[in-house]
Amino acid sequence: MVKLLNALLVLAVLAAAAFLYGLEHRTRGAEKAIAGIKRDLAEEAEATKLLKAEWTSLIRPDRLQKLAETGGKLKPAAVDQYVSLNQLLNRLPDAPVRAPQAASDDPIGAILKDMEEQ
Amino acid sequence: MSGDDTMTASPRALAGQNRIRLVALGFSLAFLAIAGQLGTLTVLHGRNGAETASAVPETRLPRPDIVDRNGTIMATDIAVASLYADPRKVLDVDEAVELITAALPDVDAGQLRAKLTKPGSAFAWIKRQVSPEERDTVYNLGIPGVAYVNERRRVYPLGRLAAHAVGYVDLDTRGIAGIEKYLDTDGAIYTASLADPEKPEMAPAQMSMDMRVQHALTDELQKAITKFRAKAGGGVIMDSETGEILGMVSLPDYNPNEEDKHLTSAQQNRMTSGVFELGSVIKAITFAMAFDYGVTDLHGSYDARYPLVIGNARIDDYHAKHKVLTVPEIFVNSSNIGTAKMALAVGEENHQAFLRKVGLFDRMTTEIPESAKPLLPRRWSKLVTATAAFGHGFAVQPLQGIAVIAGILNNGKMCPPTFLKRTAEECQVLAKDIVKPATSEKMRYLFRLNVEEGTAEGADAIGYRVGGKTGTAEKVINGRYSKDHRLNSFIGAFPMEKPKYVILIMLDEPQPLPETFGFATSGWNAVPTAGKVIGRVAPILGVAPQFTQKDLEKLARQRAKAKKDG
Repeated sequence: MVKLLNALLVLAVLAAAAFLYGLEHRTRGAEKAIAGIKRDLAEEAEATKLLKAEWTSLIRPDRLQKLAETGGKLKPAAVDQYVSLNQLLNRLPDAPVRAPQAASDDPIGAILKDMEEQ
Repeated sequence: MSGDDTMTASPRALAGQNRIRLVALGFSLAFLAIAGQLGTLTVLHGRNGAETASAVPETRLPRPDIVDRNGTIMATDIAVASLYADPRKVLDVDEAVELITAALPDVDAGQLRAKLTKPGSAFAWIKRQVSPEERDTVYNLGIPGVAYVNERRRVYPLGRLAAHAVGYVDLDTRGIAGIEKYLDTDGAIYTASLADPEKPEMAPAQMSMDMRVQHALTDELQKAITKFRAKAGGGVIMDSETGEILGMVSLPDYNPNEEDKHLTSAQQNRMTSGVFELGSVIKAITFAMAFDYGVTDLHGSYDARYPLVIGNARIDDYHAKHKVLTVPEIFVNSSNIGTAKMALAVGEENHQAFLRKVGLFDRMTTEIPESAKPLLPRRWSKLVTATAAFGHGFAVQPLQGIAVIAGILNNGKMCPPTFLKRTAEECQVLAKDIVKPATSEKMRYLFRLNVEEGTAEGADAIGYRVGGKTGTAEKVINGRYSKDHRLNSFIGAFPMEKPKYVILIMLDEPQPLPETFGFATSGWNAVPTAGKVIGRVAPILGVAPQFTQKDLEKLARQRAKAKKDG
């Protein structure tokens, strides 16, 4: 009887130990994964910051102005080109400049082609 | 059998059992002591240990980014690494130098060799603030003794744009100038308020400036300096209803990203850290004072036929009309005699009191730490009142001048200028009443009149209802006023029926050109520059153009002229 009890207790201890070990192993694994994700997040945040700074330096007004000036057809807007929204209707050209190409299966391509022809 | 043994050896066994008990007791005590100590260390003091461990890698608060009023980044921190070596651990110096210079071409081989062979040295920077890619390349070379530390570097993606307002930091990212310094010193409470305990990132510090406005101002001013071969220039655009500064430039400027700036005095911010005699621009303040004390109004007139003689000094007019001038005529002709007579009618005491009330006697402070004290006459006399009326004899920060004019035009409510975003409601609390609303109305009329038919005609950006006052101050060279060295300025505002935006343009020693018929007064250079700036910034600021019949004719004439010139 006592022997049986002892044997059961030993088994229980072994089972408990195995369970605890497994639990700890999983916890460590999860902790590692969390640390990894945190590191990745920090890295991504850092990269985003760098990209934002880079983007800002690319859209610097003096750079854009130079590009617009050398780009050919762009001109500064004249003062009488600014109109309020309700005046906009009077400013529309009589006929549409380009015929809508909705029927074609490649509407954007059609518009581009139309632009090239003009 | 065993029973026999115990029975026979009973006295000895008993003695042995006692000894065993003693040993057992000894061990139990020892284990108890260990268990007790373990308990104290882990349960009672355990938390302290954990806290110190996590506190080690944490450094001081990160610097907030600086953004403009639309959220464009003006200053931000990026991660960089600094490579260093422990020369004692570098085994093969020649190989190390060869590998490093191959990976980082801008590292000087001779200097690096000298650093690595220096006897007794335990630390040497190879290169500071390299990109993550460069860091990895060098680290993966696997040279013993070479390592890196991660650092942060402050960058200004917009470069020179608004450099004077934003300021800069040193290599250890401590603010040295501009808003950057403010964040570390006077504005430390503001900086702390940007931190959100629930987020690792700090909210950015939002400035009042608009980078598009700033660029238009800088670009036109630079073009004017080149065209008129001026020594320097400056400009400010301010919102009179909130006191916010939308743009401020002083040329020549500098690039805050450069490490060795070696700034000269010419590169200082002349809008706040220099004082200048603003000349006739000050007349606008004298007019407002005269209206406010009620000594005259728009229907008044003064005799400007003869120069004004006080003691042995003579006050004369630049464009002498030799007749009795009405008050609006004094303004549009910028008559010194008339303005001096108005100030004398107000009186010396009241004149001083008024200048003190609008703050021209004190150093004006904003968030930007660079600020200069006004230069005032030592003794105030009748002559000083007469000359100060048209801006001679006292010098103030240009930003001070525009702030007072903005206050006069904004129904007499003067908001202290700020470089941080502010609303009109917040300004109501801070604003000071400097003149009556009726005075403000008269001044708005005079400003617009001066652009319609006076000295400031060139500032008329058609459709935007500009008003303004010119100033041509002769500079003091070797103790006397020089006729050939001028400081030209223009202070204007738009749209004049409700002047929300106030602009100041200043050019230092512009030269006469053939196309200006040999003239170099403000109307020929500072004023048209202001007109161009207003034409560019008004659409950005959302001011809708309105045209009168006269405007449309003027526009058509300009078009025809432009067509003829090609």
